[in-house]
Amino acid sequence: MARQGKTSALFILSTIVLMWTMIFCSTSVVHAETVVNFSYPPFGYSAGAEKTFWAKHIKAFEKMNPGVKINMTWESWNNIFQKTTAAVESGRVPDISYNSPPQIMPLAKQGHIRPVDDLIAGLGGATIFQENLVNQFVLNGKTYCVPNADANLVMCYRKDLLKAAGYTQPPRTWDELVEVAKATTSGRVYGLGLYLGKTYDTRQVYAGMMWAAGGAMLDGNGNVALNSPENLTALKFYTDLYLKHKVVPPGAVAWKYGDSANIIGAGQVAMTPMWGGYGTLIEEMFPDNYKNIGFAALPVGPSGHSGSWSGVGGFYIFAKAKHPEAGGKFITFMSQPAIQKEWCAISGNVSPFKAIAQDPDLTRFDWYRAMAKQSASAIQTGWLNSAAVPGLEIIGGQHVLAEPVEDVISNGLTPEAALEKAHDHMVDIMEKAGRQ
Amino acid sequence: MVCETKRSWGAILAPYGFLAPAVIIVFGVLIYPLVYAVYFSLTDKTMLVSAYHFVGLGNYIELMGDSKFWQAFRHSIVFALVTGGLNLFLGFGMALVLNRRFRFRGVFHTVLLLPWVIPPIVTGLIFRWLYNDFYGYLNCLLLGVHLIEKPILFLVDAHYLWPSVIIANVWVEYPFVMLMFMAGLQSIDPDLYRAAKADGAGSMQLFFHVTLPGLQRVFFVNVLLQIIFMFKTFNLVWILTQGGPGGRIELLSTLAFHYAFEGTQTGYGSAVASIIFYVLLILSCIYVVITTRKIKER
Repeated sequence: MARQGKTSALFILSTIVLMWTMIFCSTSVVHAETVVNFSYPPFGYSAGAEKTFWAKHIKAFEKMNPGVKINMTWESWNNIFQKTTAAVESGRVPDISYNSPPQIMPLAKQGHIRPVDDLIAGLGGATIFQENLVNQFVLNGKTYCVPNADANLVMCYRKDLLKAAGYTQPPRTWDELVEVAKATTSGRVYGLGLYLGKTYDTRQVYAGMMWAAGGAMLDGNGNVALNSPENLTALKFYTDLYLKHKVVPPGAVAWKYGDSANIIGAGQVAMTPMWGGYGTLIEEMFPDNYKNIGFAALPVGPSGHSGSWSGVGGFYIFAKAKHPEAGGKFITFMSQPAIQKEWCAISGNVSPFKAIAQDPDLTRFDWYRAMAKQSASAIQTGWLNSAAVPGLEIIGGQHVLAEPVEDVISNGLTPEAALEKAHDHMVDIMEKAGRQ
Repeated sequence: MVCETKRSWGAILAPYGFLAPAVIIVFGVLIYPLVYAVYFSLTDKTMLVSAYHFVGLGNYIELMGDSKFWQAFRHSIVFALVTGGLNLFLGFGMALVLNRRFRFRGVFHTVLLLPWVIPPIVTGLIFRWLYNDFYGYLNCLLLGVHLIEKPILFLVDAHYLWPSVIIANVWVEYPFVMLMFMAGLQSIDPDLYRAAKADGAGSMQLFFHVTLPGLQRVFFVNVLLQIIFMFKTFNLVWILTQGGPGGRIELLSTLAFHYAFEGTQTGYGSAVASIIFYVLLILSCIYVVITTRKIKER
């Protein structure tokens, strides 16, 4: 028994010693050079190409900067938000990261990330970027992110189905959208794929329609304006497509991200709003049908312009970064025009750099042309640049903009009642957030 | 005497030493976050803002007036009872069948266990594909044999939503119940059956007077575990429906996720999650008390 006890104690002691030796050795190796920790959420349209892209350019950067190592960790868009928040709260943050304004700007407001005006000046100044994109990262005169990519929703359509219904062009206005959708609805093929449940996709499409109708979430004074007549017009238009015109598949109530792409690829809907970045993947997804799939800007609404949800993304540096200079160097390196062009073609994004946004090497893709057309003009949803307003991040996450759509489609509310309910919900959230 | 003391030290320390890593891990990954979640439930913490205030029972009081919470609470109870009941029924039935001797029993055993082994994300995607109205296997089959004229919207239509989600959950969960019952069946002394047969007992009498009493403890454990497991179900319901259209199958677990992570309302979402924890804590206490009593009785 005594021997058994001694053996056990010896075993435990050896394990502890071994663990500490391993930890000591690994940290010794890591500390031998400047390691820039880079937390990154991949766009994921063509994951293989994206990984190859980053590996190639990280290797080139490390070769140019001996002693600097980029330690890139891949995070899902679904949880990078939570992970970043946890990292900030624990004080153990990466050096640099990549995200969009609703995530970046609240961090900027609280002093968790540092301004990057010096990096932007080094790249040629803020004027080299599309104003409406870079402005989304400005708070109190300081810029907190180097824009790197801009994505938006475009209209994806089946050329063959439109042609069969007598149309050679995708719809350019809301009226045309209804007309083409009705004409292409036949049997088990529906004219329009539209998310109808409480999903990110629903709120993104509805937000675009709000903007196209001349509405917005907030008025000029920053007050909630969800119950405006323009937003009501958008909601009626959105829900009528399903309830009145019956051009949307009933199953769309349960659609999740990606379903619309699969269904248009299978030729069961003629049109659907989707992220333009899918254009990079469409050939791989539908090798038999990809030539039948086209992309165009979203139709123009009553306001005289169209509306698309826009997601600009870019690099930022944490205030507690251990190696901010090396991180900044890497950001500058990745912002070179040649790398930008390659990046946009791989990741399915429009370049935020004016000089590259309309580059012929990129505009040869119709998905890129459609996105660039929307990105270059001011048809954002109009509220992302207010990301530092308390409560907007909650509204985004809670699908407040999808709630009225779901309430009309699935809960039988009138558009007026549904929008009023969502308005009150939004006011409540903003008031509570403002009190913090 | 000296030798005896040395022996005792070794014997005393060894189990603690072996248990220490597990206890440390449990504290690190379970107790600490749990205490933190309960603490957050008493604050107005949101995910993006570091500053927060202590609001006492404010979140819980607000929840009492939240219709979504009560709807999710009702759904969770119904879901736990129905799914748990079906798991017990099917698991018990299958265990009885597999307890008999027949050819290829091992193959059936393995096949029936497969759903439990498959990760929930895979199961969720399988069932989403099965139920899809455009390319789903089930609709193709039903349309193919002309049982239906148009696809059934399994994850949309109010008549099919609950059964569809419950079937998927039962498919995943019943093998565990089956395993428990099989272990219980094999622990019943065969002499009891022989003796009962010698006394002229028929198969029904054997079942009611030997099998069922022999499984009493397993039944109790399974019932309680199923209620606990099904009450906190999240993965499959989330993957399949995320709460369903209009929150028709919103459970407390999915509601907590909606609030805490998507809505970034850490404090409010933690209050919902804490209520799940309180309910499960009560059930677990009942479980521990009764099983301890049973062990003592034995």
